[in-house]
Amino acid sequence: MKAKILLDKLFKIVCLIAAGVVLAFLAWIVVDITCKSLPSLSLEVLAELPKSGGKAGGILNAIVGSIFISGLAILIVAPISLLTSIFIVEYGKPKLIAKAVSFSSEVLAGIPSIIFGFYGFVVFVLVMRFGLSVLSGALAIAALELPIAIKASEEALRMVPQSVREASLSLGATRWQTAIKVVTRQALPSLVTANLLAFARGMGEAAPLLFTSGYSNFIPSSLWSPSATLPLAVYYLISTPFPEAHARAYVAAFILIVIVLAINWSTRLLSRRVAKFSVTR
Amino acid sequence: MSKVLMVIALTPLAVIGSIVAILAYNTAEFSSKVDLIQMLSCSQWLPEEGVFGFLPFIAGTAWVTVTAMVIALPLGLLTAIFIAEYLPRRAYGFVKGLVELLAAIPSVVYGLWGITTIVPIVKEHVAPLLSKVLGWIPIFQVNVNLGYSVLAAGFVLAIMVLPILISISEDAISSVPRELKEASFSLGATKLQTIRKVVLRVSMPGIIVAVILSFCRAFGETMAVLMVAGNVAKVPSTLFDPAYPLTALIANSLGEMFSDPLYVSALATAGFILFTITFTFNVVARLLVRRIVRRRGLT
Repeated sequence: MKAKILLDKLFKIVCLIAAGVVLAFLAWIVVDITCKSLPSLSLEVLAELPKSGGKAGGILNAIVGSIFISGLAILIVAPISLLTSIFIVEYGKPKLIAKAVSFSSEVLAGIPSIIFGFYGFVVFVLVMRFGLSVLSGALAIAALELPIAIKASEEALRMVPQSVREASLSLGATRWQTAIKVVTRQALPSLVTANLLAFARGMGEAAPLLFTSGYSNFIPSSLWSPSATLPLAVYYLISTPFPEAHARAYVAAFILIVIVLAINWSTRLLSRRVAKFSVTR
Repeated sequence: MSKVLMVIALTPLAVIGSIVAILAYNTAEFSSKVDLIQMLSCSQWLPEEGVFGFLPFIAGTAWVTVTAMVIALPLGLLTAIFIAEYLPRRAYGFVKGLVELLAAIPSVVYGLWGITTIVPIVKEHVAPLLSKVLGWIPIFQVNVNLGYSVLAAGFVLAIMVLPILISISEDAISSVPRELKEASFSLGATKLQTIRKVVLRVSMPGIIVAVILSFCRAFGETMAVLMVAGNVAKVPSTLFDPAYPLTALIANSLGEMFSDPLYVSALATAGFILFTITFTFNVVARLLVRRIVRRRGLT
């Protein structure tokens, strides 16, 4: 009996140690990046274009490029994911097609991100001749974000109580009117959250952009010009042999973490707010 | 309106369809020009001479992914059990939120941390120590000690998949009904017995999903392994050898390939292998869960 209780205590301690180790490692990453970027973090680094191949100047090109590419991608993804999830949740007919769409977006979600890079390179760069550009990059990122946004929007629409739909339909509204004016409006905060999370995910991806967005030390002037992004800047700057460039890679990684975590954090606050005020049965 | 909606909703189907079509077409093209079976088991990678042996890359992916899972599984599952079963309620929301937040950190950040922190540690401390203590086991011997290795890549990947693994398996564990646990306690079972015989069994479908999803994440990860695996096209034979996983191969070669159609189709074949394996695992996970749920009468 004693042995059993001892074993019980031992197991608890082992679990505690495991959790401690995991949190320590994850904290280590954040602290490491933060500490190594703070010495070189300055307004100049954030607000200037790179000079002499990343050894001097800043990372403004990557910050603006990231915003352009992820912004364009989410502009493409948001309407498609909303309409697709309306089709799956509100219409659901023909059943076979709704199921196929749902299944295909799940398969899409599991695809390794480098395959989106290959796909984007072949389809957008080579076949459609968009070149290494903001547009090609945004389309590759959009393909990656699409299943994430659809899944989350689907869940958002399913959260709306059935009685709300019935009330709308009983007043003579069509299915489309109900979907857009009642269900979508009711689910709006969660839909915004869905797209913000997809945006944050797209912002952090580098693999789909390696051969679609190109890389440039300037701010892209049009959809057709190549562009840097923060993750690409981290990758290319750390691959150079210069310590000055490494310092800028750290700053890029730090800014990336700050943006991505800020978006994720704000979506948590947003969804908590929604949970507080939304209609429940 | 519903027709228009349906056409738009076909977008994900069209994307996945065209991805599969491109990969499959190129793979077919590739196997019509070279012997695919032979290429899968050949360890020479000489694109200029038309020799595309995939073995080093398949082996690289396998070594790195298995290493990552061996490190991540015990740590992740024990942590999930700790959060779900032992953590005081006051700290629960904070810790759970923190883990989920960390899942959002981009992979390139893990890669950066890997290059500047893990690679030097593996080279200077881990490799000499492990080879001295465990050197009699073949996989712990040191042939070349660069730091950029199976172990470094596997370790960085393990840390990277931990948040997802913990988050999903914790959901499964904490959704086990309280009554089941109380019934077990009332029969005199200890906490450990209850966890082993009740909690883990009931939450097994969710844990399997967590394991398979994190496996797929590790398996398909590009940037982090590209940065720390070392990228030497040779079948690794120990944990300290460099590896060259399939994802890194595609990432590194895309730029130089497009002058040579055979090269393009070779890389598409690599992509097709990646796709097929992740797809199979996803489907198997789903079927497995459905079967377990049905057999146990759980909902």
